[in-house]
Amino acid sequence: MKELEILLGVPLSRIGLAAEETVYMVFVALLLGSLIGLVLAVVLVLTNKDGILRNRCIYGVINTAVNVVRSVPFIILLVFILPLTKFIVGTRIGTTAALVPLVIFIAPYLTRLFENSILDVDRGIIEAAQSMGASYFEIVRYFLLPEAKGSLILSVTTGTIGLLGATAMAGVIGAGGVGDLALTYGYERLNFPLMLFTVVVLVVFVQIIQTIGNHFAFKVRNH
Amino acid sequence: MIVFKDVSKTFRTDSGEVRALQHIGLTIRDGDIQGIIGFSGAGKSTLLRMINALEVPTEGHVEVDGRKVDELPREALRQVRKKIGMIFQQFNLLSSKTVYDNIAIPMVLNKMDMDVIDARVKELLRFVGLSDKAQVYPDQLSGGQKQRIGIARALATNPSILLCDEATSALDPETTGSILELLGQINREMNITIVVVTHEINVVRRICNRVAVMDHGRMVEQGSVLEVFSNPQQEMTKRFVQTVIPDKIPDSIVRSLKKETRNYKLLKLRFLGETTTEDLFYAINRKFPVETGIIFASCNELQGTALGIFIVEAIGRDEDIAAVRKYIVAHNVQVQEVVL
Repeated sequence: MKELEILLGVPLSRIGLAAEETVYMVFVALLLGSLIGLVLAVVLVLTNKDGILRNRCIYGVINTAVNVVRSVPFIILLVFILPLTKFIVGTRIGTTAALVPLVIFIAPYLTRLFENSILDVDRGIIEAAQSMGASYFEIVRYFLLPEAKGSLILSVTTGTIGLLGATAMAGVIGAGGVGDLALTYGYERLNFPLMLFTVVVLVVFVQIIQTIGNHFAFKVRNH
Repeated sequence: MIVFKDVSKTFRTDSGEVRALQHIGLTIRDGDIQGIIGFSGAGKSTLLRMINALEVPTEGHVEVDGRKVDELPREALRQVRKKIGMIFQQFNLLSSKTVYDNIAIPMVLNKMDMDVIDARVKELLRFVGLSDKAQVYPDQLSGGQKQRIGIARALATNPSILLCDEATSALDPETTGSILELLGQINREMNITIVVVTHEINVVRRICNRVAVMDHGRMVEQGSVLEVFSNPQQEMTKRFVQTVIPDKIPDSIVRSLKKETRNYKLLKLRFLGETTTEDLFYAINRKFPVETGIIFASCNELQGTALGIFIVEAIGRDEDIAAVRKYIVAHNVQVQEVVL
């Protein structure tokens, strides 16, 4: 253990804390982002021009908003919305403050992924649902979401990995995390072993997330 | 009863207006199996979807049991839809749910008790003969089995009407036969009105008692299957009917007829049901100075009634042949001259 600390040049507890911060940011941002993304994706699918609640106005507003937010690189978004962050969480810095830009970053991304997942559901399913006298809510709850489930899980997986990448930049506002550790301790102190270590950790993270995602998606799709 | 009152439907697309349906009038009585036949793009599916208001007419009205479904508010329409079952060409089963849950879904939407649902699902599975497949997923079933589940699902809420949108078009002939038998059984045993949209005349011949023929958004012919099949009026209808009830003289016979030097006429006779033929030909040959020869004959059963078609070469003087025609008509047999 001691040898490892000497080799990496930072206390192991510091690395543990960074990992904790990353997991916290990814988990909370993913939860909130998924909820927002799912709602927006459902609204987009229902209101698009072939949708059962076709509404050019609502579709146009959400579609444009999603595109606008998605065109801003995360590092810019992070600092651009600092006033909003301050307004919501009361501070501009720290791990919790980073959640605001992370959610705003990931929600539109997940919206697009979810939208595609739900659009993949056969139109015939919606028609069958309508012919049974299902309400709009019931169509979403009992037909669209269960049918899209496997694909939605893969979308969440892709989103999680994107989110993990974004957290690396959150260090700019003092959010910490594994990415920040690599930049401040590894890059700025020219500590190559630490850099290598964090890269390995991130690769392992991504592998675990993807494996879990694939596993559940496969399970859902192949019963 | 389902009544289409002067129904028209115009779709507005980027490339202009498409008149999908034009002035359709049709009445489907309770207990009927109504066939709607036409080539793809004829508007038959659009027409079918108007019965449960998945499509609404641009002009005219569709009444189901006296209520204009195209004008119903959403909630009332949902209640009407629960009493109209529908099955589809691609089955439209939920791939994420078991056969059991697929059949249960319309009842879950009706918030019925779980034990009531359970009993009904089991009853329906027995009815369609797939009791052993309850916990299987649709992708493990054959096409015919999927359609049986589709039928079970459509019957779950005890509908009074069953809509079939090309329900057998994705199935092989043998499976089609068994599905049609099942539909016939549903009609007889549960007294459910069935509306069948198809491009296969055989489907109409096998189960329908009424038929409507559609062509480019118009209804060109309608009536009982017996009437329409035994005496099709429109070109479109003839084309369909000919494929199952041939009445064309084979080419080789036409060639030999062309060599005939004597004066002759070709008469097409249609016999329906009990009318017997032997007496008629015997009488003609005895009473008239006309020589007759059967050059073509077919016999088919429609709705339990035999339909015979004979093409007879009558050789003799024109006025004698005309007398023969009169004689045939007097014996209640349809006759028509065929010109080569």
